[in-house]
Amino acid sequence: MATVSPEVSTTILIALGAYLAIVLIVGIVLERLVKTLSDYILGGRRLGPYVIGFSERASEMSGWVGLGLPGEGFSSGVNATWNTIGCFYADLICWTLIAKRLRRYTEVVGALTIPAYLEARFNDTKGVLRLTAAIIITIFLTAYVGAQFTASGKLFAAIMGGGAITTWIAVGALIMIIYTVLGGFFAVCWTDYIQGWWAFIGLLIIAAVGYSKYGGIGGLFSKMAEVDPKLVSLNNFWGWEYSGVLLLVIILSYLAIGFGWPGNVHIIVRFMGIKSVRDLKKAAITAMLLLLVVYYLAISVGWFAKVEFREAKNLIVADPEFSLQTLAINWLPPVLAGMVLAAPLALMMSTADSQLLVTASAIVEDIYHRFISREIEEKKLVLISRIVTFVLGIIALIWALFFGESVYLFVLFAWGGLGAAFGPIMLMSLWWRRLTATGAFACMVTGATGIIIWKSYVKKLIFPTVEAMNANWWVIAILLPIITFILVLIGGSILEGDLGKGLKAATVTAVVNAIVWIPWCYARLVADPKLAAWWYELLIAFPLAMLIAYVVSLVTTPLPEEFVNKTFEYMTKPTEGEVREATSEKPKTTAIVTLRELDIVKNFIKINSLA
Amino acid sequence: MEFKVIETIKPVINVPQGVKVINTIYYPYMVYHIKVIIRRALGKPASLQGFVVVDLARALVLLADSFPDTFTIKVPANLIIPERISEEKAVNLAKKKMVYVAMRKFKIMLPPKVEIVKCKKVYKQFWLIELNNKKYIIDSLTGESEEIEWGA
Repeated sequence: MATVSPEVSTTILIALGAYLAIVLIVGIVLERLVKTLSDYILGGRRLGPYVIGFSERASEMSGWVGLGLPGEGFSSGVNATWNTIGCFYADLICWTLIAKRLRRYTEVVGALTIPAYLEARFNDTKGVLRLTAAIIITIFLTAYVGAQFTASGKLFAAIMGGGAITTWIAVGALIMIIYTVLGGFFAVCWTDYIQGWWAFIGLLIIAAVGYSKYGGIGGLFSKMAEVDPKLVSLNNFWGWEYSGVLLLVIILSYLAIGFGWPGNVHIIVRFMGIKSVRDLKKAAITAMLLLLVVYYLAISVGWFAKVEFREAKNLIVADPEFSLQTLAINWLPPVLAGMVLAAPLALMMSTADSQLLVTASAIVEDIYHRFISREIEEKKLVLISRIVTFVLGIIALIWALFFGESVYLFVLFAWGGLGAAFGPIMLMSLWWRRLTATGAFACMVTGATGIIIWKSYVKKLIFPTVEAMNANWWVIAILLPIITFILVLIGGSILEGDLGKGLKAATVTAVVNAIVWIPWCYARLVADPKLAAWWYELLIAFPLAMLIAYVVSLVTTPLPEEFVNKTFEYMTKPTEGEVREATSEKPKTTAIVTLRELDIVKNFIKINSLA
Repeated sequence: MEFKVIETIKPVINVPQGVKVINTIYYPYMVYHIKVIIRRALGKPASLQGFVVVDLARALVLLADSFPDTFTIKVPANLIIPERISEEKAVNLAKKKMVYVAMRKFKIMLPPKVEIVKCKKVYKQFWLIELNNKKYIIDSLTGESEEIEWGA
């Protein structure tokens, strides 16, 4: 195993601390120098399309890029690129099918969050969709934060030369929670932006050293074939060779990673902040080019580590996800290594604190303020937000200690949960007029519950051994129909305002779930009895949730036609801002035009006999 | 009959010629220009400004992009839709909305200072018209209309 001397550890730690201090100072200085600070803070609304594209990309460059993808490159060789393909097509779909319509509609209705968007889109006066969406976001985004804690723990373990990973996860979590609180006190917005660029440069440095050492991509591939022919084989995934149905399922599982894209709220919400709809094309091209470059660099870091160290046990810590750290420490002078290692740490920290604050806001705004107390002072609001942030940090730490072994799988769980719950309804609500509130609700609970059940199954939480899991597969198979039946019966009855209609929606949900989910569970048992291959839960959960949304919508009360017409008009018609931008006209009215007050006026006329 | 002097939003559309306007109804809003000042441990405070509209009849709060153009008019008080919330409550709702917006743009840990830069109570017109022996109400900003079915 590669080791790190105490002197090198100290130098790296000093360099890492210096980096974080420099980022903070540069952030403060830039803020004083740049007059357009407030413009920047407005979510890139007045920045050019290239910066918007970068910003969208930076939002998902977390522990996933710094640790997960290099680990995947190390284990699966060239097949790690399936992941990039899955993400690329999904990002393209989001930019083309979601960005423009969501941007226009949320501007008109004044929605700041995805739960608020759903409430407005389905005219959900009871707040069922908003509450459900906020709860799902809280569960999965907190898990996402936990993945960042795990990643930081692994980074510290590498720098300090090993030790109990759980201890380092706790240390990493503590540092990140402090960073979040400090970030809140300093409110330096430029730091995230600088850190995004530095992470990119860090990967570039390692890749430049690697390619110069192995003679470009051709040389690297020759060396990979020489070290282990499986690395350039299309049958190799995570060190095992597959063929036939299992190979197909694994490849589809990789492509299914893309299904998560339209539902990951922290990415989708960026579309709502884009100023100019006209610039969308340029922003999309920038974002997708960056995706290709960053993912390729991250995966190739894993390839270099494999060629250089052959086995995971030769890395600083015996785990493929330590590829970047091991290469940085072995290839670069300690000070530069510290700076390069600071890059993924910085990314994790900025990702974790953003996700923590977004989740806290979702709880405070979408749950506390909407359902518990509408009368709340600003001071109390911020205080509650701080408490919630801290509590969520602790929950994320528990998640991290629980799932601690792999950042890659941990992120995929959170990614899958958000993707299955929100992906189908984000696409359908923007394109399908017949989608109903109950259909959307059934879709959300099916997606989220399916992912949780499947993960519990694979993690052996329900049955502790493979044999017990195989023998009792039917328990998992019937859990989803039963749970979704109960949830849809409650939610559907409230949304429809009728127990009978709720029962109908719940029955349809349970039946469709049973028809699709039970064979899926059985197929996994038959095709892969040792549970050796990776079957990504999103591969089934996403299309199943979409099917549920479709079928349940057909059997529940449609939204009033006039309301739907107006909704789609808002999505497709250029907004006032766009018209002004094109014609340089002075604003004629405010967003008042968006309120639907006709019913109030009609009622007033009737009561006062004015007609 | 009691009359009131009010600020009314300039209509965007015109009533078609030959259409008889039976009555004009006035719908109340408060429009606020709000500045949120975010205090920080180091460095000068950051600020965020925006426009918020509060629907006084339904207590709904929305973001806006500017103040509307208005004109002053004297109207019968019985044609004004009554307010369901007080101006005090409206200002609290508007402030809160801007704080939420600020919390999404900034990482806020210290309670921010909220200033009302400007505020105005404005009314939007709805025309009650008669066309082909049917009665409709028309939104003066969007042109949206709806038939009144219960008759005169």
